Amino acid sequence: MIVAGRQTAFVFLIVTIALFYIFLEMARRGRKIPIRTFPAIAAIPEAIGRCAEMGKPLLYTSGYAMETLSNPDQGPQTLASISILSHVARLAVRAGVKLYYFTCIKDSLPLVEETLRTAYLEEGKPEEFDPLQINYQAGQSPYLNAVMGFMQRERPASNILMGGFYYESVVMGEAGNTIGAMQIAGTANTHQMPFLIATCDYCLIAEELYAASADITKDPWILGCLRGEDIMKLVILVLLIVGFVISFARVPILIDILKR
Amino acid sequence: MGYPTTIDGILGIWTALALMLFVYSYPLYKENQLFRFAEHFFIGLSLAIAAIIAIQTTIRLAITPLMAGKFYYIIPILLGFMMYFILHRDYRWISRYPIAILVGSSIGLGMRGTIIPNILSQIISTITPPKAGADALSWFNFVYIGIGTILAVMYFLLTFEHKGPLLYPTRLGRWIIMIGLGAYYGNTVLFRMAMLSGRAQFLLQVLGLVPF
Repeated sequence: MIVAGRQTAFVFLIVTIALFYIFLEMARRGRKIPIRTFPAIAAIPEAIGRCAEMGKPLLYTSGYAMETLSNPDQGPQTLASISILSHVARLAVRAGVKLYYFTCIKDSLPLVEETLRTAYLEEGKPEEFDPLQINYQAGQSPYLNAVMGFMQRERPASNILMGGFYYESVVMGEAGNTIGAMQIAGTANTHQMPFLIATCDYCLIAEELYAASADITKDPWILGCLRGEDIMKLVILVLLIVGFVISFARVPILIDILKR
Repeated sequence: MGYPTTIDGILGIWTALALMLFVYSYPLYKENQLFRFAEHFFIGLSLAIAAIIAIQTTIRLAITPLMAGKFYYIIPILLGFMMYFILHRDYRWISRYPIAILVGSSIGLGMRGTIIPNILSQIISTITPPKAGADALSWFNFVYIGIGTILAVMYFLLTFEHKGPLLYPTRLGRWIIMIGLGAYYGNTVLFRMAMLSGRAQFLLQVLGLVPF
């Protein structure tokens, strides 16, 4: 028996899972799922080209993200960021650009290391991979300090800031601006989007971060989930529009259903 | 709290002031030796504190219950030890299991609290009209939030190109989002100013110009 007050939530959960499964299967069977174009992703080769031309390194960082992959809001952002990192790393290795990665997320380290190692391997330069390219600092403020110090000392030509950012976003964005770096950013943390938009040349906001990683990897699993999520959003849009219109007539039927 | 009178108290506030000024030398001047000292000092100190907290937490949450006879606590302890295989090139794969359990269980727990507060409650709040006799501003807010939410959700349709019938609603949605983010920006600037004034107050307190 489903507890009163959670029945609609249960239906929502079942419908969402069903939609994810249907579109995931469709994507796996080769059905093409289109995805919106993102200027921030299209600008990544330009950012790497800038580093190559100037002979400067590239800085990539995934934000504070509560220092763990296991946070349900922050972890997926870090994973999406690591997917984008694999694309960035391959382009950087191909162009001969040294990439430096900064993080304070301890449990993401094996993933990051494997991602970078694989990128070097796939580009035929495994001997060029240096684990010291990955910088780990415990804690948000030490991590921020280290990134700022790196920016001032090494003067990267481009910075890519993708992931679950907190207050470090504005400080890093500003520090990157001070050294004249080209900056591409992305976060799903609403409270930090304004700062990344203000300080960076390109920015992915909210779910665009996940969609961008799907666009890069072309992974049918992620693409299928994105399509399922979009269909769920259409359902929510219908509920919002119908609910909004009937609310003027003070008909509470939809609210009552949603509260069940 | 008055001005510290003990030697360690006085030393503490002056050290804090010196480190604060070293850090501020970065935005006010440029990267320099003093900032670099503060940066490395801070990173090292934080790492030491993190290590101590980790050890204390392990003792409190795992070792103490285990010693008290709760033998099933051996499972998380073993999973924790498995994490250390990350340092061994040949057995690194072992560390993936505890990480997988950690990530999977946390996402499962997180899902529990997602649908009602993040989706259903948001829809209900958006479509609940102001009470009878509400003023014009309440109705304006209701209409603005309702239309704004619909347009902003449309902007986040990611597997549909923003063309044809979606062109103008999504463009408007982007404007609505930017207005919202602008308000966030202003709010945070004010908060940061309050933090800056807190630091300025600390500076004056240490110099004895204002009371502690």
